[in-house]
Parts: sequence; structure tokens; C-alpha cells
Amino acid sequence: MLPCARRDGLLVHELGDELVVYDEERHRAHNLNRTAALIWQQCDGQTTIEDMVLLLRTQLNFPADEKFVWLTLNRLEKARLLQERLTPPMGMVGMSRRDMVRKMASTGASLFLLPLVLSIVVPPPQAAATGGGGGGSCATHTGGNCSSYGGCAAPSHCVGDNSCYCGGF
Amino acid sequence: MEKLDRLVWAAGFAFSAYGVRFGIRVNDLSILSRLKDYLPPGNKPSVSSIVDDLYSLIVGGSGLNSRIRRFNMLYRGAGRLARTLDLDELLDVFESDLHFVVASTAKDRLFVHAGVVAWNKRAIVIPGRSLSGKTSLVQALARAGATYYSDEYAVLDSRGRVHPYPKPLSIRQEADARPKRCPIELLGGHSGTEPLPIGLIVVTQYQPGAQWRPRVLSAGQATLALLDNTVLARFQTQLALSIFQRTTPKVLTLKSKRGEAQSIASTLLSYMG
Repeated sequence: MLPCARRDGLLVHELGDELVVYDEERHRAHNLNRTAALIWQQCDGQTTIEDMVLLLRTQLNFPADEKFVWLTLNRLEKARLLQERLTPPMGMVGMSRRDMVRKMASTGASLFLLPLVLSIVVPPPQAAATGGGGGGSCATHTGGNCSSYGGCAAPSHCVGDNSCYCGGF
Repeated sequence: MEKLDRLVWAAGFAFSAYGVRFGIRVNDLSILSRLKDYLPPGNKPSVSSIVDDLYSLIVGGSGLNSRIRRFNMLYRGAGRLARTLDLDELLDVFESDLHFVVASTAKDRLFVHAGVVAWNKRAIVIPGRSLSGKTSLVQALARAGATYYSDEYAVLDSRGRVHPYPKPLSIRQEADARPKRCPIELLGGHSGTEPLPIGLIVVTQYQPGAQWRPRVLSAGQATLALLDNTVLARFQTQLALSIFQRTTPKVLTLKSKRGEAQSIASTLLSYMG
């Protein structure tokens, strides 16, 4: 099975040669550096691992191999950016990021080429300030008070998309 | 709400801020003038009786028997926000809730929890939650000559410019203490009035004894740092990402723990030329 990127429920923004991907289902945001972005963009269900190795060697000008690609795919899979779980062939597992760093250092390749997928859980409104709960349902339009408090100790506040968040402290 | 409506209200007023209409009613006239110090920056009086949110503030005071003290109460709509014997504490809750409601319902603006100052016609944005040390750093930068924009929110427009939100600084003497409100003018500083492009983003957290050893973040990493502190990140995601896409590739973003704010203030200003 060839790797295939998730597209549904994702907002993708390019920032130079990086990508920021927002997962609307899980409310997580991911930053893919150049290497991770290149691989993810090749995950179309038709591009083979060998093709990806060749692409990395061409685009990034360093001696990538299949283990390197599988490490990247592993990172992408953990971030839930691939459609299905992939099973790497025997011999392709077990290479840690540390092993990769050593290998790259030995070849003189820049460590900036290591695939990097940084992720955060995007906070709900109150948590972005001081922390708090929420989750009731809005009976009114955005800006009004909520019909139910959704577990808040204080009145909730409609913030759009039919969701309520705690407004008290 | 009906129970509240049946109470006797001494006075009230209405105002709007960032497109949101608020009303406040009180049972004690003496508190009215104090409330105006807690309103969001840029608020405008309103004569309309239609509001989006109505605050009801009940000043408890003492009963006829001076040994009895009644609770001070604060409501937004029908829901109670605070019930306390300490009126200052209630006013703090009022201020915090009001700012949050503005941040979460303002039209055409993206609110990022951040301290902001201006230097050389560009903004320094310090994203961070409460207790991350934003106010201390903003205060130190203002003392070093930067123009105060906010210690609470970076208010961004669709072009990525930062608008001033110069509420009084919330200065904590100790971590667990209630913050003291202090207008920047009392600290010898001054507030900005014009929207400015971002010139520097500083991702930092106070840690006693820490050395300032910044590393440069990529545009993508800067975006995550801002998104992590955006009030309505889950609902204004497209707007937030569009704004950050315009700004972060052009802006230097630094990340490091820091020690005392005064020790790095001039260093930060030097990055801005």
C-alpha cells in the first residue's frame, strides 16, 4: 500500500517551503518543515517510496534513503496526516531520530533537513487566556448567552459554530 | 433573568466596543463612575437600549446591622459570574470577563493573548498565557522607551497590523497575589494610537535565573506559537492562518526562557534597529 495523505478536514497553509496544517476534527495544528512537507505532498497513493527517495536526493541534495522516508512517514502518521496506517518492511523500522542525526552528521548533511512535524493542540477560547471548560450548546446567535452551561460554573458565551465556552472565572 | 429584572436598579449605561454592544446596570450609584475605569479601550457610549450583553452588578455593602455584610454579585445576562464580599475582586472579574467577551465577539479583528509594545514604528508581540511574565516584560520595555500597546491582547486586523489595546497593566507583585491595575502613564510611559506592522515576535517565559539565549523560529513555528494563544483559534482558524501567513515569514521570531525583564529589554529593542 502506498502512502496517501489525508485531505478531508484539514486546512493547509504554505509558509515558504513549510506547511502549517490545521486538523479541524482534532483541533490540532502541525508545522511541517521542508522535508516533511515535501514527503507529505508526495503522498498521493501513487508515489512509491523509491520515488520519494529520489525526490529528496534531487530537491534537498543529500543522500536520503528509504529508512529516512519511513521515518518521515512515521512522523506524519503520528500526526494523523495520513489516511491509513502504514507497515514498513522489515529492516525499515527501528531507526530513531538520533540514529538519523548521527548518519546525517557523518555525511555532512545539514540537520535542518531532518523531517520535523511540530504539533500543538489548539486551545478552546477560554484556555487561550487563563484556562477553563465549556462545551454547552448555543440556543442563541453568536454573542448571546447559551441555553445550557455545558458544565461551566459560570455563564457560557456563544463564540460561534454553535459552541459555548465558559465566560466566568 | 426575570428575577434580576425585578430588582431595583439605580442606574446604568450602555457602550460599544469592537462592534459589540454592552449594557451595565447597578443598584448603587456610587459604583458607576468606578466601572468606567474597567471598560475596554476604545469604548464608545451608546444611547441604544438594545445590547448584546448585559451586566448586572449588585453592591452588597453593610446591612442595617453593621455586623452583617452582604455579598457583592455580578451577572452577565442571567448567569452569575461572581459572588464575593470583596468588591475589588468582583470588579477584577468584571474586567476580565468583559475583555474576554470583547475578544471573542469582536468583528473584523483577531485577538491573540499577548503583550505588545511599539518601537521604531513596528510592534513587538509577546504571545503568552497568564503568568508567563508578559506584563513584566511589557513594563520593562515601556520603561526603556517603547510605546505601550497592551499587556493583554495583540489585536490584529486582516492586514496583520497590530492595533492598540492599552488597558491598564495588571501588575502582580507575587505570583499568587491579585494583580494591581496600573495605567501606563503612572509608570512614566505612553500608549500608542496607530495600527502597526509586527516587527518582532518574542516567545518567552520567565524563569528565575534563566539566561536569554534565543533561537530563531521559522515562520511555521512562529505561526504555531501565535495560534496557541489566539482566543478564537478554533473558530477563526482560516482568518488566523491567513493573517499569520502574511506576517510571520517577514518577521523575526525568537524563543528563549528569560530571567528578569529589565535585563533583556534593551536587547529586544536592539533587534528592531
